[in-house]
Amino acid sequence: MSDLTRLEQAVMEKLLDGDNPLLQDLRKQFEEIESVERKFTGAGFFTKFRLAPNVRPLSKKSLTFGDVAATIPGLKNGAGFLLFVRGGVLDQLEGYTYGEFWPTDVPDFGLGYIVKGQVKRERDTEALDKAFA
Amino acid sequence: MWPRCLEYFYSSQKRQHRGQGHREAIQQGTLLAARTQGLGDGLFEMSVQVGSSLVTVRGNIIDGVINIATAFIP
Repeated sequence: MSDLTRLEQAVMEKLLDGDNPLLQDLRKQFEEIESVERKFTGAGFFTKFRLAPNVRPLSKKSLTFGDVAATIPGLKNGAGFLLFVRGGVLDQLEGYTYGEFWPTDVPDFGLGYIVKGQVKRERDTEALDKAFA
Repeated sequence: MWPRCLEYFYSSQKRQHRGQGHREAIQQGTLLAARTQGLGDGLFEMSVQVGSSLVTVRGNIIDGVINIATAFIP
């Protein structure tokens, strides 16, 4: 999906990584994104997805999750992300800071998973499975 | 440790998303929960009852100041 920024692409891949069947279905939807519309809020952004009309919706219609965190130069406290699924399809990605202004340029970043308030390399898959149940 | 203030929803878009009434309810709920749980500095995630909805609130406490980053219904 060429319209996504490098950060958005990496965050989406990290959010959708894993063996949970729901993640597998969302990865298929992710391949069907046709265009995006991005709005900056000052403290973050919302990137709205437009998917191909033939995308198969999930049986779970509404879902919001996001356990990915980013270290970004210029952001002392890093950033977090939320993925919104609405109507059974990918709806939008939110990026947010913890009280700081979102930088105008993000040339470099690192990603990890938030596990019990700490940023870790490995995801808490049990917590995610529970959230998806 | 007692939170000194709350910063929440800086953008007009976020305000539109959640609404002023919800914003205040989330702030109050988060402050109360932080006090009750005695949260220290660092990232936090908590659930706050707003009307009939259980809202997940994420933020960071820095030097005793609660910064609410986002809130959502899972």
